[in-house]
Amino acid sequence: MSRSPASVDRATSPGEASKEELSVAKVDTVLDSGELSQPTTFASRIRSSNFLRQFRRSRHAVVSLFVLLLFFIAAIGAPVLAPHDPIQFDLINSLAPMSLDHPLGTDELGRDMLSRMLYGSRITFLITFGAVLIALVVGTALGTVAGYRGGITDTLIMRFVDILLAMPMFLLAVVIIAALGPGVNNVILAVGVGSVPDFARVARGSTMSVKQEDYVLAAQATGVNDRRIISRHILPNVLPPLLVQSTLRLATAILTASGLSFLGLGPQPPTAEWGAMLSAGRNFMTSSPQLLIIPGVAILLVTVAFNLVGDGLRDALDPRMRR
Amino acid sequence: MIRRALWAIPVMLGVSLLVFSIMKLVPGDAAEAMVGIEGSAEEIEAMRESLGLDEPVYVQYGRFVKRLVLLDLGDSTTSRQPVTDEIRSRIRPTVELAIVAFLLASLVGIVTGVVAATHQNSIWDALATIYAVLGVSMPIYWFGLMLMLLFSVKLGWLPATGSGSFKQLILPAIALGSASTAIISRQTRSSMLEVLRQDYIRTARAKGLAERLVIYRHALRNAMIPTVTVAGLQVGFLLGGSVLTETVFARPGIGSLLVQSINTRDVPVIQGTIMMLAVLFVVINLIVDLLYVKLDPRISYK
Repeated sequence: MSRSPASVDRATSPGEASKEELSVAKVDTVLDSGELSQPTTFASRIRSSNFLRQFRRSRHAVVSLFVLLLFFIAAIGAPVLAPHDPIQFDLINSLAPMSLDHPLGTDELGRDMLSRMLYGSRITFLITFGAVLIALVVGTALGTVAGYRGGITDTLIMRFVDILLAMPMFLLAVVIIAALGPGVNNVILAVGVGSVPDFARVARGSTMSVKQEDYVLAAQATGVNDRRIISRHILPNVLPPLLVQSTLRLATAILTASGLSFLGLGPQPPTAEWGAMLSAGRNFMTSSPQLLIIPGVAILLVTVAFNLVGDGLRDALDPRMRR
Repeated sequence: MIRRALWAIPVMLGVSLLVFSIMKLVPGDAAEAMVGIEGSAEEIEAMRESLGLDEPVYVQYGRFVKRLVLLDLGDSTTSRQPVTDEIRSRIRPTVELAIVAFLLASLVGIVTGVVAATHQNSIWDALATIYAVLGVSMPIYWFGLMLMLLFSVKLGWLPATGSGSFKQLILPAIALGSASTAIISRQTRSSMLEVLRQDYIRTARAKGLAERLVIYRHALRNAMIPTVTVAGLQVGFLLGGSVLTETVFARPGIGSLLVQSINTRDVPVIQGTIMMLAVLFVVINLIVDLLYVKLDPRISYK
């Protein structure tokens, strides 16, 4: 089964998407988007304590979750934890090495690196979660309506999604920023729009299989209106695979967003943001490589953690995906 | 098969509409940019008329598509050169980079994937697994800078910037290809593991075929099919990532031209480079799909 065409022409034949995605589900790439299966088993699994037991069994995922928690605490507690003002210049102490006063040293303008990292994590998390939330909401809405309605609605929505997919995601984000201008909100929007297609496809595929379930047919037979069926019967059952998708998407989003910042298309100076800090540190690569290493390692750690939590969630929700 | 090829046309039209409408959102129009900040209102108005910006939007879109077909992308507002000329002089570094990164990722990915699958649970398998997670989690621009720091600044083995020679291609290709390597390796491993469990592999072994032949002649060929799919999906990532990689390594390609034109708000160049990259993407996807039919005769596009 895994030898079927999978999603070769993902940009071309929306009518076959659900079949294709089922075979993609066997494909275990880390960034793979097509995790879908019988949503009912997902839903019941979430409710049973079995799910927690399965998730806990994955040591990587639990450790990653702990790492993420530390980063979240650091982000929330930045005003308390930061030893200095993140944007206050101190030119006499520029490019200082690590010391008690500046645990991670200072940057080219003498600003405390630890404080900038702490405040930067807030912007980074704001962008990442904001973008994935947009993609989750918009993609789910498009996907469930397309999958539930079928017919011309489905065709129109999925053709639109195909066009979004006909552009490499990072490029799409760059074009959107080019039009709207740089800044935190526009980066959230750009990264969010770029992630919509994946959510729409997962939501559509799950909806199409849930639609065949007896309880949906029963609800339709008793004359429950469509809006209520979608919100009460379809959505709760398509949500679990979408949550897995969201976690894995957080990893992609942080890479895309920090990449945009690196190009100077993100938050503008003096705002502290990891990608932008990396970009600024480039000029001092030989003398102070720590300006590059510190933000890079932070991005890497958070991305690895998102990926591993996502993998753990997927494995716990769908035992067939387990390696 | 022909239908599959023809489908590229509406997709391209859709992309052109997308690019056109996004560019319409740019504050201040091309006329203002051409005349410059010192231009008077009359000058801007005259320029607007000469550019056809006073006409209805759908007429403008029609003209945009017509010019795309004729490969006329307008003139750059900064250099005043035709955009097609600018792109032509920049296309080589980008295509070279994307191709070498793709070949590198496919080669290393398939080899490591096969080794990991045939030595399941060995130290090599564990290393490949760790790389699979790190590879997709590393920001490519950061990895590029780290490579530059080690191999150019500290060791002085390879040049850090520029384009033209093969040496200048090595570091950017490794940086750009690292994530795709991880994904292809992972895919090869899992489909190899699945294929190796099949009956025909047992048969091949039972009839006394050398293990090497079993793996390369019988198993790998069948395991390659999903790998080609995943490799094809990397093309978009590589084209998008070229923007970052070219910026890091100061390669004068289309990606760095795009970043440069965004900074100077040079709308014709932004449009042109985006369309160019999108066309490349659609064409390569088409080639991958057609390649697929060759590889697996059971598939056909009808």
